[in-house]
Amino acid sequence: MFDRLIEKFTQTPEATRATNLKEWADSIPETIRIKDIAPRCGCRAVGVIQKIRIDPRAGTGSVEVTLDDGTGRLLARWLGRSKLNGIALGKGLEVEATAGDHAGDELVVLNPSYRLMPGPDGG
Amino acid sequence: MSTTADAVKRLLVGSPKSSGELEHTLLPKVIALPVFSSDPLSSNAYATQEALLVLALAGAAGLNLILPISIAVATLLVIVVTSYRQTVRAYPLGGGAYRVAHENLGMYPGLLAASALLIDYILTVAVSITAGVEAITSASEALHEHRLGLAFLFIAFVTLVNLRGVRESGTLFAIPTYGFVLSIYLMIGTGIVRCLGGCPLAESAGRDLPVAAALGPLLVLKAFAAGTTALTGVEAIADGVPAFRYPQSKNAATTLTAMAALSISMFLGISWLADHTGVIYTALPLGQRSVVAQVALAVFGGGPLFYVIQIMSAAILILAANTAYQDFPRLSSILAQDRYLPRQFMNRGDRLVFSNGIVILALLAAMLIYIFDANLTRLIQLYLVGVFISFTLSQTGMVIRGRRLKPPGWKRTAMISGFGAFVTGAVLIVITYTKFPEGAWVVIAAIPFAIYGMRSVNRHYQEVGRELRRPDRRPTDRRPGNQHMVILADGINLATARAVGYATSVASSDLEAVTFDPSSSDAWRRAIPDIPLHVMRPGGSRTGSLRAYLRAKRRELTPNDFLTLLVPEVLTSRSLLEVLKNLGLTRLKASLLDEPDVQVMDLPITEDKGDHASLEIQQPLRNHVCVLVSGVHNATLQAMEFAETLRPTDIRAINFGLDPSSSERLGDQWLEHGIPHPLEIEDSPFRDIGSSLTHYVRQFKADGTKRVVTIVIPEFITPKRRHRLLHNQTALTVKSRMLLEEGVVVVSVPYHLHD
Repeated sequence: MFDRLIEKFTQTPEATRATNLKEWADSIPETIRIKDIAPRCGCRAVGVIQKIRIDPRAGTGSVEVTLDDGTGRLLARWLGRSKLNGIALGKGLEVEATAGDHAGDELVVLNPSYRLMPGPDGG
Repeated sequence: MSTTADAVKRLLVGSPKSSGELEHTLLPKVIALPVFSSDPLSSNAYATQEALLVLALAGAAGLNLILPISIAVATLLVIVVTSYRQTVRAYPLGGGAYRVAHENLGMYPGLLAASALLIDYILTVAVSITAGVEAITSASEALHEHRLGLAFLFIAFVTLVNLRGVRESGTLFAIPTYGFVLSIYLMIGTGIVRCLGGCPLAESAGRDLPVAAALGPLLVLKAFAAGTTALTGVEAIADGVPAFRYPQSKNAATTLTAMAALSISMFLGISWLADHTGVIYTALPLGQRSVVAQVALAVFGGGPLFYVIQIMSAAILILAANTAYQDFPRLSSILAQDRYLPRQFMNRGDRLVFSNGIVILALLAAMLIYIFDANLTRLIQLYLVGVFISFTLSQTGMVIRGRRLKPPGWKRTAMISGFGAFVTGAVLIVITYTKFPEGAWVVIAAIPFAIYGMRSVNRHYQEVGRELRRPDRRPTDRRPGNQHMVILADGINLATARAVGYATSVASSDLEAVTFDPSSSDAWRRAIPDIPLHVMRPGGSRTGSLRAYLRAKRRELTPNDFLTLLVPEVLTSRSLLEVLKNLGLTRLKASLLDEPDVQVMDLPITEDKGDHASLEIQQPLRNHVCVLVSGVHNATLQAMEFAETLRPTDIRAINFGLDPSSSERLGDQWLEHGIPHPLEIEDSPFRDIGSSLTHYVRQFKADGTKRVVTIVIPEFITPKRRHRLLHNQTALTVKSRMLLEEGVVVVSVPYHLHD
């Protein structure tokens, strides 16, 4: 019990947030944590929406959503569309696709199927 | 923020919490009850006394009425609580009387309720802290002259604990609140048991009581009004529904009932004991024990339990302030959401509380205590008017709502609320009438000012909204004009060299420099012969002559063109103190924001690395332009067009989603307006744009020579200076943070709002 207390007081706020996010992600069945995803495997991951990038430039356009599950970040990119209904910061998103490569410290998946869910704060 | 200040802040209020932890800060009922009930429960410490004080004027015959009057007050409490239970269910977002009145009775009744509540919360803090201090200083005469200092100390303490978080303050303050409840129950229980064999008498029992007034209906009404002090704080729960755990409305309603049960039983118990122990309480002589203390003394006979009651009463009086600390910040955030108060009240601080509201409440309460010299009898006169204004409006609003929506069983609840509104309205008149000359006029005079203030804030925000969406000022053609640049050169140094490099990469054709320093002109012409240098005439104000120069230049350009003043700056250390040292330049930049159609670009470097000879002018190879956006409107569109003229490597708009719920709408608007650039919406989990932006720009690894990042900030410039506090606070934070980032250029693109 004291270990937990000491941990609570010495953790950086970022680490606390990561722990909370991971706890939340662990509670969603049949999903894998982002850092455990092997390149080019088919898998289902979940994370809280950290960043949304919409690119409406001429041609196709794209939407990118960065997910964070406390263990790492995953970049889901949808090509040929500029809008994804219901996407908002802080919501949870489950994506299923074949993973691409780790670009820098982010893992990229293209055109995954997705499912929205409440984020860790219940909102 | 510097690391030392950061460390001190962490020590005092704790480390920041992420927005995702908001649910963890919600209160379970066991903690919510003391948090929101310390104010209503504390009023039991003096409600009986207030009623007895009036009744004593009619002599012994008057005192006999204390029980019937207490029962009447308790009945009113039941009525009001029944009505508020409906309110809590109907308005789960909190806001209590303000929201009910605003939605059902109209804007002005809503603002009346809001001002009454806000003023009342400030008074709650001032009164309860003063009462607590008085309880302490009456024990020790030596402390009396330090009462102001003591009051400020308590305010600082309660403020600090509240800044640490809702849960934290709730847990800490739950102990004395429950302690107070238990000790009073113990007193009532012991008293009833002892009364079985004949009640013990209070020290004042049987004192000679001259009849000063006839026992008429007016006196009874006054005593009843005085006793309604027991109702103060009932509105607290209705204001704070969002602080509860889910299901919020249900939990809030249950807590409200529990609070009412505690309050009524304590109040009736104290009144019954006061009646049976024969307590007499009169305005004179000074230095009498309070009614609760007299009852405790009679029941416990001066043992340790007597002192427990004394200590608990003092503690609960101070803690009543805590209820106001919960509700004032929350109500002001709701008012800010509805655009009646500055938007800053909506910001949650490091610990997810509305820090700005907490600090403002502390300052106003401290000011009030200072003005009234911590004098309880004068302060307490101001109290109650606000409470009853809000009760009356809230219940009237609930009646109207019932008639409008006709929910099942509405007739019964509307009748209860209607009757409640009638009685509280009557009490309001009595209180106003009796307390007006003694100080209530201050509150009644202050309310119109508060309403006027909120109304004008709202009007201002609406005007700004209209201005920002005016179709005739929307930059719609996607062919922006040319970029014309003027470098403000202060000698030749590395900063000027960078500015020249930057400017030539953007506007090589139309570029010039101005200086106030004639001695550097020869060196300039030798080093940078391509850029004409204009030496300003010495004397007169620098701002004035620069402004005149820019105006003349502006007249030569078409309205589509941009005119940008580049301000290179050498900061010798990585400290914000540098900005203070260079106040002249800071003021110059600030005043140029007033100048229509001139942009000011800041190019700071952090140290002067070298002399003139080694200065090499280098155009940056990559220029990443980031436009900070908060919404899609004319100011944003103009800033995007400005960004396009900078010949950047890439342009993007970024938004740090302080309000996550609006992120989807922002994306939709972006697409609707057809802006051909990417938009990035990034969460700032610790609600700190400065840090998030710092983190963001560092990904470009700008060095200032080969790679630069340009941050474009759209700013609203209002014609009236007093309105400026309402805007651009974020721009200020961003500018001060970015000043110290290597290779980051910040440019303000002002959008002038017309009146």
